[in-house]
Amino acid sequence: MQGPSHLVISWFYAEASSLEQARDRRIVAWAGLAPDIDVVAYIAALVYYRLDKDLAFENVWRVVHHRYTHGLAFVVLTGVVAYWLAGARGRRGSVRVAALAMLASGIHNFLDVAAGGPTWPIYPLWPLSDAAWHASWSWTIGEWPNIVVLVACLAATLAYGKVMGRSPMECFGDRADGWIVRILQQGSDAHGGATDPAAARALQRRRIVIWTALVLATIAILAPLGFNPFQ
Amino acid sequence: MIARACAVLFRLSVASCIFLAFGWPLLVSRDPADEVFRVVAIASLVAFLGSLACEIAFRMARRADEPRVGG
Repeated sequence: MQGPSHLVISWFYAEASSLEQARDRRIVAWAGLAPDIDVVAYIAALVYYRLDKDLAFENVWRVVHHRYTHGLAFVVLTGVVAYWLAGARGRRGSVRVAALAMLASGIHNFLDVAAGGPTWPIYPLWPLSDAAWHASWSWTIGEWPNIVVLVACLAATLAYGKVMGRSPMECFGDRADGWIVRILQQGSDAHGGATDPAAARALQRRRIVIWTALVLATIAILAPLGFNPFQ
Repeated sequence: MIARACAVLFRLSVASCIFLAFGWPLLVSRDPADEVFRVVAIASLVAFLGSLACEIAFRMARRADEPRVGG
């Protein structure tokens, strides 16, 4: 499953678990994406191999991806970090945030077994055991079920932001979330609720920026996967 | 009633997802082509995503029903 899908699903998981504080939802959401932090190794390999994608893939990504961060040990590590980050909530609140963060990280593992492709196993017991776990029928990252989930996540982000006044954009900070929510909610009026023509034009420009960014982000995610809906 | 059933399904599906990721290969089978695992995993995935979507939809519906104060 794509990284953005993991992040959005984890944020909605935190929201559905009735976490009141934005900071707590953010911790759980990022915990749900955390297993994919091994992408840093691929980026470092790209730099090391002077942007030779094949060498970086064969020598690093194929070896590293899923091995060290897709298992119970990393889930526990995620819980410890979440507990520390949520420290200001008091002991009981921190334990709850840490538990939800661990569950989000665990769900990431399941989603990768079911929807990460058959060639990318997880390693549930690493470092105690190198036993891999995968499903031979698992659909690859560019197949339609993953695309449907990604598009649904983006649509849910926009709809939820408009109705509830907060969205998974919260992961990137309150200001980012406030900005997109304002655009979404004001967009329900013909002129975005702006009586001043200049303000209405500015709002329209911001709306175009958001939609363009959304389309570009979707293309940036799907293009490297070789996804072509016209095939 | 439906909301409560959905909340229960949501929690059960989370538990099922965690078990399928970590418990199944240790306690049941490591066969990657296991048909039972396939059925249970896809059912759990659909249940998790579906119940999560319902939870979110219920929250949005509750908010939409709330009386708006001010302009």
